[in-house]
Amino acid sequence: MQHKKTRDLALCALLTALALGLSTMENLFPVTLLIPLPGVKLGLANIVTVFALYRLGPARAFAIVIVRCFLGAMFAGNLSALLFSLLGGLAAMSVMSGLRHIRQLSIFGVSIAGAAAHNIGQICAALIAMGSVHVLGYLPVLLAVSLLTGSLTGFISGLLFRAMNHIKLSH
Amino acid sequence: MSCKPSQPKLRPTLADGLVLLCVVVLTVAVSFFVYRPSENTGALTAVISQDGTILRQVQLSALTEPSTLEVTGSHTTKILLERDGVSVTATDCPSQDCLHTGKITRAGQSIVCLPQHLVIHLEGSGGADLVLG
Amino acid sequence: MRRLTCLLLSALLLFCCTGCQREESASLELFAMDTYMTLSARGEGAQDALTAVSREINRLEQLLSRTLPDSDVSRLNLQGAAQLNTDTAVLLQQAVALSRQTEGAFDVTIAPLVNAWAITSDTPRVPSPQEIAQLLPLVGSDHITVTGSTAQLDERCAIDLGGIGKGYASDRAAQLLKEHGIEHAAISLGGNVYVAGTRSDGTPWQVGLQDPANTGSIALRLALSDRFAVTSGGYQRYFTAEDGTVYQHILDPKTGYPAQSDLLSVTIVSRSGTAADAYSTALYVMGQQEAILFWKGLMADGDPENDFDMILINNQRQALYTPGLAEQVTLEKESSYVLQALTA
Repeated sequence: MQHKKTRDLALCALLTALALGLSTMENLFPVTLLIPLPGVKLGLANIVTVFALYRLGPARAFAIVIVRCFLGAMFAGNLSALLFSLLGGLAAMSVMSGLRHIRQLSIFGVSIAGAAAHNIGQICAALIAMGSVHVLGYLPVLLAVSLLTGSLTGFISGLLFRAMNHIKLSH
Repeated sequence: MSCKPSQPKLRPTLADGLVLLCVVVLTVAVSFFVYRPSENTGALTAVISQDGTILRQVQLSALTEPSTLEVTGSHTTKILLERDGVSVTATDCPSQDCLHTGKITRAGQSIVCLPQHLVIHLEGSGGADLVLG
Repeated sequence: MRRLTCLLLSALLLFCCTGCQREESASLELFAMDTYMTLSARGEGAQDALTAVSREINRLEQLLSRTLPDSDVSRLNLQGAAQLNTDTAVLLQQAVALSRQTEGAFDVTIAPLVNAWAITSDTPRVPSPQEIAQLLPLVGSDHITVTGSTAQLDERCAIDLGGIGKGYASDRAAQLLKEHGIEHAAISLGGNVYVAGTRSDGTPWQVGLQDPANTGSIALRLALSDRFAVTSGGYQRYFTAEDGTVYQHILDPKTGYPAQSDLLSVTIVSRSGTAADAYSTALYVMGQQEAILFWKGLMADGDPENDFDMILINNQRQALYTPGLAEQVTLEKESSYVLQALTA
């Protein structure tokens, strides 16, 4: 029993670190060169979220998202970053958690929905932070882009799942 | 074996197409709500707000010459107001998105600087079409 | 395959929405008559109509400009007599009539004084009282006679059509738009506004009135259709002398000095662009009381052609409006003015 709890904890910590690392890394990569629009992000951290969701269950995935957001905000030294990543990450998590039960969907559908939800969450954060309805102007654009970024993260997640196929992580 | 799936399908399916379609429909729906068609005429008013409070409202069509405005706060941003539009000319905020947005010239468009909580929005058909004077 | 169809259908949907055809609308901007002008129109042939209007404006500028050496006005001022183009002759006759009607408050022969002050140039100055006293006798509509297409000016007199030229141009623009069958348009010739028909949603055009005390904001709005509107006010152009005195550009033809009264701006709404332009200047010179009397006089003379509406903004933060505008005027939010109705 003890063994499993420690193993769980270590695994979650590992995944959180991975998510943080991916998040930081993607900020270094100038996405705006490819897609010249403000606020576009690849959303690579969602790969970890979706992996944790399927392999460890929603509870642990939820925990990873929360911890990742808080740590990320602390590293960035910025409170509004917390609001943005929290609302984005939680929105993505909730949607993906729900869609998980629809067996007809593949990792692509789930990831795209997750990316779209992430952007909606971030726009909501912007609404609260800026107090202005006009940030909604970015939403259509971000949603359209989420089709691409969602497919990308879906593809990478697929690779991850395939690689980890035979490894049993929980229960 | 638990009922909950521990591994999703790895190949794209038909249902994915449905998700795709939903996102597209959502995009179009939001666009209609957000991008309201504006009149070709339009006495544009630039509304500059920070943290939800309006700092300045400027009647662009009443300007006799371009004017600049500097907004401070967490970052400093220089805004150029001209008769036909508004643009950000300089900013020290990290992402420089507001600068890259370029000049906005139609009612309903906005420039947003996220770190500074700054929104520059152009209003048109809600206000005056032409300005006397 | 089915997913591809899905994608194609969505793309088609998006494409259709953006390509929705709407009634032809056109807009044009130009610099003419020393000011910025915007023209916009809706309806079949809108683009052609606006091109015709802009050409006409340029043509009129060639005739009426005070600075272009070949214009009718310049030739008349230089030679004291000249053969005029039909438009110039018609306009001059109207100007003289308006001058008489306003008892000299509006006067195109004010040019010698305008030149002396040069307020709208790069080198404004304050003329000495002696200089003004010498120039005052040159002002007066008696100094100009228009017969047919020839005009004669008394010696040393000169005319300036700046206070009426844009108004006349707006009348010509309205005529051209009608000739082209355009029913909906909104033009602003440096602040001289003409609106025809309605906006594309069927509501009247919203014309904003600048706050004289705070340019850059709007004091109130007028919902207009098929009307000309012109505003005159000292705040539009002025210069500050070294001793701090502010001299605004609308001169009183009777005193030779910038008009001083309790009015900050006068807005005229009428069916004639030329009259609106002239009256706005004249009533600003007259001051509130005389302006109201003038308006009442014209409303009561039994000639509906002479009727007009107005908004007077005075130095008591009041915006006085005539009954004809009761339904059309709305205060802008956060405007510090108080609306006050005038009675005939």
